[in-house]
Amino acid sequence: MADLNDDEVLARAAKGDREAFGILYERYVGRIYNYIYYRTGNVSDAEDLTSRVFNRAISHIGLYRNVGVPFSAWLYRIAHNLVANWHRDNSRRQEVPLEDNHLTHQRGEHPEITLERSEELESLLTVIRKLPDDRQQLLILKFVENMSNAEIGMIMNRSEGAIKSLYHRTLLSLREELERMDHTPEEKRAVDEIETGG
Amino acid sequence: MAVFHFPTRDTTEQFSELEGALRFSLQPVHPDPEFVGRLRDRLTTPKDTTLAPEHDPVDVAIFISGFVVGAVLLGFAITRLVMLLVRLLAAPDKPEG
Repeated sequence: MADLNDDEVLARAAKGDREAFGILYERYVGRIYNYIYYRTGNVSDAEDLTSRVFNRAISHIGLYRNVGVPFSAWLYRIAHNLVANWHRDNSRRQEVPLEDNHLTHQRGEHPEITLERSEELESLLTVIRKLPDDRQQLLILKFVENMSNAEIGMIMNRSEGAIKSLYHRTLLSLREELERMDHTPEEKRAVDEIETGG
Repeated sequence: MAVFHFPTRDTTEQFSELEGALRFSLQPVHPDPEFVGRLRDRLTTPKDTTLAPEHDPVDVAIFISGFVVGAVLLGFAITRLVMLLVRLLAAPDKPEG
């Protein structure tokens, strides 16, 4: 059954074949987990929400209709809604724990490289987490999930052109924010004074 | 630490540097295999289904007869009520004084 395509496996899963659902799960659990992990910033919430995504999917799979939206996009939408609820419930944003082995040791990187990468990761993730939800979602789908603009558009329910435009705006705001971060406090004060005309 | 510098480059160059940094930093992570296996088991193993106990024929008979008796009593009460109302409406008014 593992050789079957998503639609064929889906048809079986919709009839209550749990093994078929297991195959879909195996195909997508990593991607959904990644998406949630980068949106929440910690392993335990990522695991909890990933479980919820698949529990919801299995209980609603009979309602899924392939009307141009692939199953993966359906799963990402469930994940997106659950993450949005999670952020609403936890009004404070959580930072990615950089001491977490999850991000580093699994790739077997050299410790120095790992440390350097952690610092860059910290800077970048701090800035990314300040972005609006849709921009965070876009960056994660593009870079972590390696999706095309068209695929991202299906998940975010926007046209390919709209995604391209949103991506451009996201890069602009990221660059501005990173440049602001690079300034020393004195430089920041000077910039603020110039901006406010003081 | 100033990690990302975009001093005098044009926008395209800055963007490609930023994209490189994003690609480098936002790499896929791997979920704990134990978690993945546990969740898979939970999803694919049918939940314990406790079968509904079979109905005892005596209980069913009692239930049905109770329902029938109740319906008859209700019908009787409604009929009596209607008859009483009809009689009251049909009764001539008492003469005054």
